[in-house]
Amino acid sequence: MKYVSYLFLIMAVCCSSCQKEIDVRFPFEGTRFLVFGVLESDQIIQVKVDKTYPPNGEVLFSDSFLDSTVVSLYEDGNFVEALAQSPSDKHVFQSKEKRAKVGRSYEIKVENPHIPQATSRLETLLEGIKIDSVWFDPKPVLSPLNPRIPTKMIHISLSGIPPDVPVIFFELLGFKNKELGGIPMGRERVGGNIISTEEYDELENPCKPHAAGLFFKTSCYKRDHVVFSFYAELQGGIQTSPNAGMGEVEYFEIKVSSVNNSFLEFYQNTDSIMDFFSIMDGIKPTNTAIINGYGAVLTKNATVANLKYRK
Amino acid sequence: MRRNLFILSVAYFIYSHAFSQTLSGFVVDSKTGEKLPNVNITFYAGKVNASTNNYGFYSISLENCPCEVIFSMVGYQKNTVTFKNSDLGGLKYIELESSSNLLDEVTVSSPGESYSKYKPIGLISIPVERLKKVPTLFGEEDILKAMTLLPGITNATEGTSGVLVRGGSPDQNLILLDETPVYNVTHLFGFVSVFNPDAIKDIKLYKAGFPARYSGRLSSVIDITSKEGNTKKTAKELTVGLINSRFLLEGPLKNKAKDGGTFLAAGRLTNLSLLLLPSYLSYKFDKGGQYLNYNLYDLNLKWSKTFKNNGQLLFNTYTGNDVWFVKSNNGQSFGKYRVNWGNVTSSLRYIQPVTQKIFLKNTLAYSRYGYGIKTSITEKKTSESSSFVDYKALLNDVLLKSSVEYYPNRFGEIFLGGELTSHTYKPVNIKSSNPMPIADNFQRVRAFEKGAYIELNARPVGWLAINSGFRGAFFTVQDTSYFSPEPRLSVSFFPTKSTGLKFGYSKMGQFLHLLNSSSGGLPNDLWIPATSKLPFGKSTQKSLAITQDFGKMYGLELGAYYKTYSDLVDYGIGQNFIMDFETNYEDQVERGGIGKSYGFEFLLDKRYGELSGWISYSYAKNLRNFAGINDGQWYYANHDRRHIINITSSYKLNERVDLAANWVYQSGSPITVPVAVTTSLLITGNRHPEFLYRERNNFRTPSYHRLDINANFTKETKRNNLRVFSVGVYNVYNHNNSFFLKTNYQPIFGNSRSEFIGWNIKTTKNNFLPFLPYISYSVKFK
Repeated sequence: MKYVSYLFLIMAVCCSSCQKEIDVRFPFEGTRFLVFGVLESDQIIQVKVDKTYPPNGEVLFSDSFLDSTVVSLYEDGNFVEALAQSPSDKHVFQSKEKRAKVGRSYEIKVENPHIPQATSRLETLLEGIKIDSVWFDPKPVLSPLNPRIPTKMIHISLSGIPPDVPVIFFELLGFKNKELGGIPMGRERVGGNIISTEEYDELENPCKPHAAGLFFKTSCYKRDHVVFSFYAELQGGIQTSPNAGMGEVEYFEIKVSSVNNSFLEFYQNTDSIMDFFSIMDGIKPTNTAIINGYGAVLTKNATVANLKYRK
Repeated sequence: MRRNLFILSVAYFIYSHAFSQTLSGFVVDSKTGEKLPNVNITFYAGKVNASTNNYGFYSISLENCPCEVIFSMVGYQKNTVTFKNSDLGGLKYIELESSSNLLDEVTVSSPGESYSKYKPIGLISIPVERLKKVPTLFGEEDILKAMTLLPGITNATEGTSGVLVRGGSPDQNLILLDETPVYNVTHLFGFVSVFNPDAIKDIKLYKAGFPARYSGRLSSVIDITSKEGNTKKTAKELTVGLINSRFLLEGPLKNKAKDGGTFLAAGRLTNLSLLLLPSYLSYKFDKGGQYLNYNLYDLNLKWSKTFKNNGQLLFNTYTGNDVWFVKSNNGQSFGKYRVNWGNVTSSLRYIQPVTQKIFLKNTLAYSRYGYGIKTSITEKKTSESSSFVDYKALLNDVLLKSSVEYYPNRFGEIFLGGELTSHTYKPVNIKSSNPMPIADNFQRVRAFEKGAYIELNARPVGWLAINSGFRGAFFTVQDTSYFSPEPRLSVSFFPTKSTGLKFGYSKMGQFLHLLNSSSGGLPNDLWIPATSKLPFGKSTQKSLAITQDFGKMYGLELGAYYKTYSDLVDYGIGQNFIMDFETNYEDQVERGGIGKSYGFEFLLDKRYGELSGWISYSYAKNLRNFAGINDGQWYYANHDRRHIINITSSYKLNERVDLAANWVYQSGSPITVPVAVTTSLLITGNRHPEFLYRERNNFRTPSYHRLDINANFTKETKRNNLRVFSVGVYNVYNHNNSFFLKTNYQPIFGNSRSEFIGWNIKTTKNNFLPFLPYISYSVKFK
């Protein structure tokens, strides 16, 4: 038994000293552009530009390449202008006065002598959706996520969904007014969960909403009139969305946007970091709508309504 | 012409039937009474060859006796019996005496007899006792892992029991335990196979030239027969290993097996709970923190009864389960995380030699595989479960099989059979406290499979053997029916006494798919049936082999194959079924995949002597093509490994000590890695690194190699029990074989802490299994 104990001891020492890690270097495909922008109706056209870095080793951000980068805007296949760098953010390239127009198709080309040219997919700005009315349901409801947080149900009645709009995208943001010494200081975003009342389940029923219940395929609804309903938590909680503070919601801003399928696809994209559990995961090629680069230039036509909450 | 041939064949069968007499019966182990499968039977001075079936039954036709018949099997002393005409008729039980020394030359059969010559193409049949001597991880004897050291067979991930055969994935192996399919063959996240080596009598692996009696998978058949139980006396065995402890109890139900039948019970229980005891004590007495535990068990039970008409009823059941759980206590609430998976298989079989020439088999079987994850948080104050998710995936099969083996004459056999299988799949079954809508509880899918086959083994002349067959399988699911026609053919020529030239052709169908994102045979892999949206997979394999024996000791085998696949499925890009509740499995997969794998194999086997072992080499390419992956271009499959070398040896130092070693080399396999990184600042506003991926399997892991050694010290105790003390080391020279790759990143700051100027990204390969010594101790009670 004594020898067995010694053996165990030797084994324990050996095992603990044998774990080691060795560096692995993945091949870098070369620098590519990262281009991202959402073109909205009647908004000045602007996109953000960055570049990629090797997947291993020391990565030091650099924006000097932007000085020699040309970002060209095309509308319906015709060159419009080279976008200018924003004075406030070197990564942002914007038009001086060109605004996105409904029914027009847009394309962005990004060029640099040292980086392969990147081109966005041709994206058309679709017609907007008319919001008939928005209202709180008078019946008391509980949040399915946080039953203790006061919650209301919001109904949004839409009419006139244009026939070429494949997907509706909802954004419901909670705000409270800021003031200092009785002087209004604008508004502050207050996080609150917005939860679709419909189960999201695109396969069993392709008409169910996608991506946390905020994308709806229009082919499943009557285009002349349809009512969507959401649970809206009236208070920021632990699970609030990023960039939102705590506090009670005073009013909701409801954006209903007509977007295309590539917009939905892009937002379903996720990133992943390799670790032990990644052996159980599939690896996802990065979703990109940029030819020879990464990112997307998407279009969105939003209609906005506000709904004030009174206690 | 066809009609004439048919008439000629029938006339020939009748003629040969009329003038021959039949010798039939069972071959059994003289010490245990176990019926012995695959016993080589040669007669007419080695010119004619036959073998026993899985139940130890043989039937041979003899003319002009007295005839000398030799019964031989590796590990047993050959038994030469001379039969006169008057001896023939009735069933003859032939006993073979096991050699105390497996490596002894006396086990070699008669001169001119060849081990590999008559072996059908693609068949690997190595005695279990020989496989048990191969050093394996933690010293756990593992016959499935030992098989992966043979050419054309490898394991999915280091140390695991997920078997890959000639480019196929783990789900493409039909694994039968006593005629019942087993779906997940791994314990301990794949590191230990579910087959208790003490309970296994025989294992056969077909990697090509599949006989028509087997069907349902694309790449291989692993047919495992468990022991029936000692018919002569009660035997006990106890083994204490590093990971598991196991026991075996077997014997006659009454004093004589012929009167009362036999029983066998074999079980394993993990010792990990003991090793993890400090974690439990810390959790218990600190009243906080985390507690991790792992439980694993399996149990084989077998009962058999032989009747006066020589019919035998066999009942066996296997049940095994793994439970891994973590408990946590943060002072306010208790958290539990539990993963469990396991198989249950049972079969009731009735076999009977109806006449000397006809052997009947009937099987009613059940197989179940289940996998579950349960998480819960319980508030300490209220003792109420504030949140839980309970996920289960289930698969149930009920099978009815019947077959007849007909041995008309010494020129061949005819096997006929049919089977019915009812499959029930429930891939997603979720209960949750969270009313957040999830696409849970899909309707169970029921499917029926019907199959029938005919198999003809012909040996018209001494230099030619033909195994031909056809199987038709029907599968009905969700108002969709599929038919899989599966012709099989293998032809062997024997130009010299020691040479075999073999050709094989097989077409196979597989009516179920495994969604395996990991390829390691991990329990979260999900079995799904072929449906109207997902057609069944098909494969066609053509193979060639040359076997050459050099004297009694050495055998050489060279093989080549070309295999094509169609209607394969794979996880859709970036999908993980367990994590993605919101989509149905049918839409998470890429469908209509095609594949091809081809390669060359070499095996040099020294079967006997103090030093025995084999050297094997495989060269292989394995490609896949899916419309939705890599823009529809061909890419190397997860399991593509160009070169594999295995050297396995054992050396008998003396009567008490034997040594074993094996060295393994494998080329790296393809994985998907990022091609670049960028900041997600532009899109999400955060400066997290965003790893960018392009193509699947765009990087090859470094090559893999290791050396394992093992020593067994055997001693007979004062009470005449046999004690074996084993010591060994896995990965002796501590080569860093990458089990997984891990990426870490650290922010780089500029002059001030707030000036974030980049990252330092480091990817490392992590060796999960370094230099790993182990011991085990077993006692065989006499």
